[in-house]
This record gives sequence, structure tokens and C-alpha cells, in this order.
Amino acid sequence: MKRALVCLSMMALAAVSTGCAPMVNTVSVAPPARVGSLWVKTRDGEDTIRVSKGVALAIECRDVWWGGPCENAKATTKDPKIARVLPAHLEKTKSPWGDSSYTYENASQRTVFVIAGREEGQTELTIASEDGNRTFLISVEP
Amino acid sequence: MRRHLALLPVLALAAFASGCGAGAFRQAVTSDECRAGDEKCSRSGFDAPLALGATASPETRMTLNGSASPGFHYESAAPSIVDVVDGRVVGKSEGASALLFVSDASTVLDFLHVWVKKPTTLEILAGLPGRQNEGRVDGTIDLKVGEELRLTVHPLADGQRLLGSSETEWTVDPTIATIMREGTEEHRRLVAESPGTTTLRVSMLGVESSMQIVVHAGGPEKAPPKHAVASKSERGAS
Repeated sequence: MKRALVCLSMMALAAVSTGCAPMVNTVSVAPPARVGSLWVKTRDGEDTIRVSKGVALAIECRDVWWGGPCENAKATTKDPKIARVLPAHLEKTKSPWGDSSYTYENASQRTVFVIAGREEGQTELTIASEDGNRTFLISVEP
Repeated sequence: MRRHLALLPVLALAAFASGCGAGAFRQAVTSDECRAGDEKCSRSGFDAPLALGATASPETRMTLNGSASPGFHYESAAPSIVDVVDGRVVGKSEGASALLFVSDASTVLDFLHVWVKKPTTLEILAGLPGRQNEGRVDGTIDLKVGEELRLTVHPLADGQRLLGSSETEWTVDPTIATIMREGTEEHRRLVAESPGTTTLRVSMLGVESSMQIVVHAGGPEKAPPKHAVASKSERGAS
């Protein structure tokens, strides 16, 4: 119960700080000596995803209130020659971070995207969903 | 806390079962050419760098809950490092690139980061047909006229075995043995034909390796024909 309250408080805080935009977190790691990180500065437009060239990084989109999967989400990058984004299927029972609060409560699919660093440079990622939109600067490093 | 402790053995078992070559989502297991879990295969997983310039044919099986594998294909995150040509992966330049397992509906089912490294030498494995598994060749091999040797070559980099193969040149000089093709670039069958000493040279991906073979007179030992054994016992019985 105490844990649930803490989670709710964090979600409420996240909701306020992001202006009800969905939460996005990584669900994979970069290989050794390569970069794959999500740097959230809470204000839209200042969030950054850093990946090395060749690295694929999986991110998950969740609604900020209940932590459920973002509904009807679509992700696009401005320049697919620098970074591609593709929808992904990640089973709830195979979360690299263990179970999550909605794992057993929500039977729908998780909303996961894979970002692939193709060539060195910068581009923009937009996630549009019924739970709000998020924009990230993608930096593909050597 | 108890719940977390109970999860530990499950996680450990999952890690063990998935083995090397498991995807980032643990939804796919990939091996190099042989099917995952095939004990007869000398390479159990896609668990080494791909040789620069080499081509490999990964075998991937999905482990999705409640679903057989959907149709999928390979795509590379960075084709300038690892390219995919007709379902085979090619090491294009040194580095690392994710190999994406993408369903025919364009959904990523899993991915695996593959490294590309330049080979520094070749490892030759040899074995006598029907006698033993192939082993690494460190010295001279003796054969009798008519005996055969199964040969396999792998690229190595700083002692680490690399995945993939490429166009391979096999020569023996002097030609006291014949090299027979076995359907792949990295496998050959050598048949000893006349007595003497020869050098087998193998070159692949810009590196070369060699071994000495001594062929002795006298054919390979043959088991006595069955009818001869039978006639012996018949003689003993009478």
C-alpha cells in the first residue's frame, strides 16, 4: 500500500512536471563501450536520447496517470538516415526491469519503440499518442 | 522481499536457458548456422564477433509466450557496419551494429548487437571421418595413402574465434593429395593419394594458415570381410 502511494505520488509529480505528456523510459541497454541513454529534462523539447552509431535502444511509452501503455501511439524521426524508429513487441512478462505496476492489471500490448542509430548526427523523435505527445532530440554518436 | 527472493531462481534459470546469442528482449535466441541447442554443432551461439568481410547465416528462433514464431526478417541498425543481404549478415566495417528481428508487419520482435572484427589468423580443424570430432591442428598430420581428412577453417582475431566465412582458397603443394569440396567454403575433404610430404595452405579474408601432411605408403586399415569371420567361426565349430 505504501509502495502504491509512493508510485502514485511520483506519477502525479511527473504528470505536473511534463504537462500530462506520457512517460517514456528505456527498456534495453546499450552493448559494452557504446552509448544508449534517455536524458529527461521534463520540459518537452529538452529531452535527449543518445545512441552510438549501430546501437538499438528500446523505449516504452506509458500514460502518466495509470502507467498503462500509451494508446494508439506512433513514433517518427525527422531524418531516418540518421536514426530510425520502429514499433516493437515486448512481452509484459519479459520486462528487463522485472514486473511493473500494470503488468498484471492491463492485458493490452505494451507500447514499445526501438530507435536505431544509423549514421552520426542529430535528428528529432516525435511520439504522438492519445495520452499526449513527446519530442526528443536524438543524438547519434560515433 | 520474499517475492523478490522467489524470483531470483526463475531469473537465473531464464538466463541459463537463454544462453549466448539471446536478444535484448529475451524473445529470440540466435545461433550461427546450426540450430540453437544442436549439440553436434561446433558453434553453439551467435556469441562472437563477425569477421570483417565474412558472411554468416544466423539461425534464430523466437520464444514468444503463447505464439509460434511469426514471419520475420533481419534488418541492420547500421548497414555500413553490418549489412543484411538475402537473409545473411555481412561484416562491412569494424564496429558494432544491432541486428533487428523485424516481423513482416514491421514490428521489432527482438534485436542483438553484433560486433565486426578484422581477422588476424585462421584456425584449421581436422578430423578423420568416422573416428573422432574435429580438433585444432597444431602440428603435422600423418595419413596413409587412401585415407581422408575432414578440414574446417575458422577466422580468428587475437585468439578469439570469429563467426562467418568467405571465399576460401585451399592448396596443397606438392599435389600428393586431392582437396574435395563439401558444399561450403570453410569445409573440405582431403584425400591422400601418394606417399610424401606436402603443405596445405588455406587463405581467407586476407589471412593465411598452413599445415604439414605426411602421407605414408600402404592403404588405410580395413575390417576383415564378414564372410571371412563367419568362415573362421565355422571352422572353429567343426
